[in-house]
This record gives sequence, C-alpha cells and structure tokens, in this order.
Amino acid sequence: MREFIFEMKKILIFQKGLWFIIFLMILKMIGLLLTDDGAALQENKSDYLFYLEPIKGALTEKTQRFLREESEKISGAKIELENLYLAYYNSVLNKQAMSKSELDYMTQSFEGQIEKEGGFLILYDQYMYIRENPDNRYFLYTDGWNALLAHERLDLPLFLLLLLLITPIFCQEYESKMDAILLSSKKGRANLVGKKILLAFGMVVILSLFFSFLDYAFFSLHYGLEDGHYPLQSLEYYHSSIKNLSLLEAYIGMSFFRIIGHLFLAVIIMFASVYTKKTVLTLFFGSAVVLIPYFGLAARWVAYILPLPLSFMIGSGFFKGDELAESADGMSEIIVYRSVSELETAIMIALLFVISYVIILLVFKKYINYQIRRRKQVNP
Amino acid sequence: MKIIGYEIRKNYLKRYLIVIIFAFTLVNVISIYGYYETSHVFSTEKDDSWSKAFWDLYEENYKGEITIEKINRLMEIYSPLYQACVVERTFNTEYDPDTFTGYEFGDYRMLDLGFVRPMEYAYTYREKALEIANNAKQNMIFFSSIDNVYQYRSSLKIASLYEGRQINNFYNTEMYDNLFSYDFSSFLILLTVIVAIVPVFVAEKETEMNLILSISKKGGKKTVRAKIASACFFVTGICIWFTITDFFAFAAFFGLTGLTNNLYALRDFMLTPLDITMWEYIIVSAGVKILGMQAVSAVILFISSLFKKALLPYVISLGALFSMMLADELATTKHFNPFDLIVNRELFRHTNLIRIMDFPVHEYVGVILSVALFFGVFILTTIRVNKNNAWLTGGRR
Repeated sequence: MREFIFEMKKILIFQKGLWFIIFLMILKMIGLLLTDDGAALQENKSDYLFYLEPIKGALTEKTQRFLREESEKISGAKIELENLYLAYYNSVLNKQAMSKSELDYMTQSFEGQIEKEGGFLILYDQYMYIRENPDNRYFLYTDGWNALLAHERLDLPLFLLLLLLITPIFCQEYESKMDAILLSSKKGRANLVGKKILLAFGMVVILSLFFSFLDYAFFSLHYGLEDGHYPLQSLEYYHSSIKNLSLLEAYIGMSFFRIIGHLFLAVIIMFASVYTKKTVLTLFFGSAVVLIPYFGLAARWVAYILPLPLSFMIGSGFFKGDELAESADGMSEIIVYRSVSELETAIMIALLFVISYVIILLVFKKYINYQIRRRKQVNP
Repeated sequence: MKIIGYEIRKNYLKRYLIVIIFAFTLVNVISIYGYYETSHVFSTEKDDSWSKAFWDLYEENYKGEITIEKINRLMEIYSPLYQACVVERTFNTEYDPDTFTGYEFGDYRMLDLGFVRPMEYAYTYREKALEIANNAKQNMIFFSSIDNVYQYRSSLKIASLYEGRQINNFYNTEMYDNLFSYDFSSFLILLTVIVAIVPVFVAEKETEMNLILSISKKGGKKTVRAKIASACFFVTGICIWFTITDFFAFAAFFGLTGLTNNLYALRDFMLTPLDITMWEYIIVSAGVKILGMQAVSAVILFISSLFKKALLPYVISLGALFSMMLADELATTKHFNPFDLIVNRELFRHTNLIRIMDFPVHEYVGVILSVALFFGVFILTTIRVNKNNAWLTGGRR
C-alpha cells in the first residue's frame, strides 16, 4: 500500500499531475463553451417548448389531434387576420368608423398565435420524423441530448491529459536512470511494475468517468437533459439504430466504452514507454495510434472493427445504425456507415482484453529482463 | 554552414525518424486509396461498365478542346436520354446491351455527371466571367464619379482579373477536386514535425550537453541559428516529399489528365483570384503550405526551447495544433493563423480584397504576410530566449 501512495505522490505532486488535471479540466470547459455551437432552436425555443410540453412522450391519437388542432388554429388565425386587415382598410376607404386601437385589440390574439408558428414548425418537423416509426421515437426536447450523444468527437483534453499522466510512469524512471536502482531493490521488479500498471488503470478509470460526468453536467446545466428514459432513436442521429436502449442507457454505455478505450490507450502508452524508453517516441506512438485513424479514415465505421482504442474512446458509433446513400450512377446504394452489431462489439471488447493482457505480459518481461541484459554487458 | 549539416545529421537522420516517415508515407497512400474508394465517381480500374463507358468515351471522343462538333455529338445522344429519363420518365429499366453502361438510366447519369454538366460549366464560364468584369467596369465608372478611389481601384482589379477568362478545354477534374480538398497528409507532416522538432532543444538539456555547448565558441547563438535553419530545411524537405507522394498517389488512383487546364475549370475554384493552371496551382499551394508549416514548426521550436524535458513541449505542441485548428474553424479572420496556409484552398477559392492604405490587396497576400510575420516573431523570440553563451559573455548570462 505504501508504494501505491509513493507512486501516486510522485505522479500527482512531483510530476505535477494534479496541476495537469486541473488545467486540462479548465481547458475542457473552455472547449465545451467554444465548440458548443448553440441550440439548434435557440430563436424559437420558448414557443417550441410551449407546444412540446403537453405532448412529450410517445405519439398518440391525442398528440395527433393536438397537432392538427394547433395547425388549424394557426392557419385559421392567418385567415382571420387577413380578413380583419381587409375589413379595416375597407372601413378606412369607406370612411366608416373602425379605429386603429379597435383593430389592434382584435388582431392581438391572432398575432400571438402566429408569432408562435416558428416553434410549431420545428415541432411539426419532429412529428414528421416520429411518424415514420412511432414505436421508438418520442417527442422530447433534443438540444441537450444531441449535444451529448449525437457526435463522433474525441475528448481531446482527456486524451492529452492521459498522455501527460501515463507517459512518465515508466519514461521518467528511464530518463532519470532510476530504473537501474529500482530493479536492484527488493520490491522494484514485478511488484513495482504491477503497482504502476494498477495505478495507471485506476487513474484512467476515475478520470474517464469524471470527464464523462463533466460532459453530462455541462449539457445538463446548459440545455437540460430531461426524459432520459425515452428511446435513443428519438434523436435523428440514431434514426436507424437497432439498439433497444434509452438515451440515458446509451450514455452510460458510451461512458463505459470510453473507459475501455482509455484503458487500452494507457496500455499502449505503457508498452511504448517500456520498449522505446524515450518520452518523445512514447508520446508519438500514443498520439499517432489515436489521431491517425481519427483524421485519416475516410470511412469512420472501419475504426469500429479495428482493435484500436479510438472507436471506444469515441463510443457513439457503437449505437448508430446503418446509413446508406445513393451511389453515383443512381442505380444502387452505398454504405456510408455500417452499424456495429452486439456480437461484433463483444468480439472487439474481448480482443482488446486479450491484446492488453499480452501487452501487459510483455511490459513485465521487458522491464524485468532489462537488468539481466545490462549485467551481461558489464561482465561479458 | 557546416554546423547546420551537423545539426541535420544529429536531429533528423535518425533511424526512428526515417521509419516514421516511411510508415507515414504508406499510411498516406492507403488513406488516399480509402479516400478514392469512398469518393470516386468514375473508377479508373474500369471494373464496372459505368466507369469503363465513361473513360472510353472520354479518351476517344470528348477529351481536350471543346468544339461545336463535339458538343453536337454529345447532345445527339444525351437529348433523347434526357427526354426519356427526366422529362417523360419512360426509360427502360431492363438490361439493354445496346447502351454504354447496360441501362438507359445509367447512360443518362453517366453522360450527365461526366460530360454534360462539366462541359456546360466550361462553356458558360466565359459569359459568367465577362459578366463579372462588366459589372466591375460599371462600378468603376460609378465610383470614379463619386471620387471613391479605393472602390474604383478594387473594381479595376476585379475587372482586369476576370476579363478574358475562358475555359477552352474539357478534362475530367475528379483528381484535382479530391487532391485539393485532401488534408490528411498535412496532419501526418505535423505529427512528424512535432516528433522531430521537439527534441532539437530538449535533447541537449536531457543529455546535459547544453552546459558544454554554452562554453564552446559556436555553442550559443550560432548553434541556435543552426538548429532553426536545420529545422527549416527538414520541414521544407518533408513537405515536398509528401506533396510529391500526394500527387502521384492521386494521379495513380483517380487518373492523371488535364494538368494544363485552368484552375477555374474546377467549379469549386470558379471565383479564384489565381489565373494559373492545375500544375502551377499544385506548386503554389505546396509553397504556401510550406510557409504555414514553417510557422507551426517555429512555434514548436519556441515551446521546446523553454523546457528541459520532452513531455510538456510535446503535449503543448499537440494542444497548440488543435487550438490552431479550432481557431481556423471558429475565428472570423484568417490572418496570423498558420493553419489557413496549411489548408489553403479556402484562401484561393474566392476573390477577396482587403484594404491596405487605400489600395486593394488580395486577401491571400495579407494572410501570407501576416503568417510570415508570425513566423519571424517566433524565430526571433527563440533566438533571444536561447542566446546565452558563457564563452562570449565571460560567464555572465
């Protein structure tokens, strides 16, 4: 236990890990504020919510009636208003008495109705989407959930933070030539490597959960994340998903995948650091393994069937459904996104675990064998 | 000069760097192939009747100068198809061996996408350009009448730029459309540059060589300058290497044709301020990109010269890259951001003029100059920060 505390103290205090965590957390918040392009329905939000409130949830007969009635009300109001203005101008032309204030009084309620039309039209679009498959598409306010779930963005601050925290765990020992001393100490061999790895895993799990929580908290405060028990397909981004999950369940699943992805990244970083013994190369390896597929894959879904940390670090693609587009010749359909089945997900997770296990064994072997080889060099 | 050679040998002729460059070249080519697979309209492998029909017609009949005879010949086969597939919608959906692609609708789509639309664009471009030039001329008369010198000058500039523009030749532009919107190789260059440049200053400190260097005759200013110069050489070299790889890979996958075609033959570059051909643009764009890369590497050099260990400068450099990318997306002004030179098509797609002392100047000139200034400032700061040389100052800092 004492060694754990020493290692933790080394990483968090002496190597300034705590400062990095705080700084990158702040950076993440700034990033969220900057990149959040604002609500899709900012302008008509209050009107939209006014119409949405009574019909939230599944599409029912009652909802349809409500929408029809409101639509009639708005078009009726438009006609009434036109008639009123016509009557007013007629009365002005014929010099009969209909004062402006009288007109204003009469048009007031109709104009109020028409002002809300923008909000109603958004809801109506949503209705058109839900009507295609009313079983798993519900009416809800989507801005918050879209911002949280409907993207394939990498959490860059967390990624940088992991590079900063995991890389020095082994590299620092090599660079300060501490490894030779550690290896000759009683608990400095397998015991130490095991503790270092466990500590790295612990940090990764906590940070990954915490950053997922930060996302949730931010969007919850910013937009509100209500109705988490509604089906995932209520968001258009997941329109063709075949996963039978609620919004909240999907986010919990996504956070779980992110933990796996970040753990695997940590394993890769540790592997690189023990084998290259150089900070620069370790950092390079860690960043290339994530960023090259992130920026370089023309078909993003391919990442989900490759044993790389990236797909798990993003997570959302596991819940997406197939996406097709028309091919250039207009005769057939091409796959833009191919959904990942549950079996494939399970195989990928199993594969990552096997690879991680092998890598960890290799890390042990490499770190411990190290001293033997050096001794050979000294006394040939 | 000799010292620069040593720096290059020490910092860049490393085995791992050569492996990285080789591996990245491979990744780049694979990525370009992936890009081709997902975005090509007509495959150059001619493995389907649709692509084969297009390339056969293209090579034999329509490539090269646009003539009335060619247009008539094309319209003769296209008009009835258009009538059947779009106007009357009475086309035959069965396989038909007498068609080019096997299906009537396929023929229509192939001719429409491959020939009619691009030729129509090329043919009508002259008129569009003339219209812009004429409008600009009218503006000239108006602005000179109200004594607005600046607006007069900008109209004059636009009029002279667009007058006489025309596209006489028809070439398939798929390769250029895709090559000019491909950025991934720049990202690979950036990753390589970080891993190569971060150790340039840090390595001396990690091996405590900086102490010895600081007491040697050429160990101060001269070494710093040599380090900067060698970094510039390396960045230039690697940019050229990836430009060449990009070009050959795109040419191999999409098919190389029409290198001497005008840049504005691409619909995306309809309003480009550059009156140059495709191959000239490839060189101009590469040159501008190199300047952008130099500016980024100056930032990385500066950051790494401040630290003793590689960890922080590497991560900060990576973070700086992402912030520049983000700024490129979010900021309204393009000036001072090297990323606008690295992803430079936005700069050359539209004719934007900026006002400098009552003279209209192309926006890209302004952006290039501002990034050059940015580059200079970082280089000078790096030199200033690192100039201490105990040998010359008699031991004082």
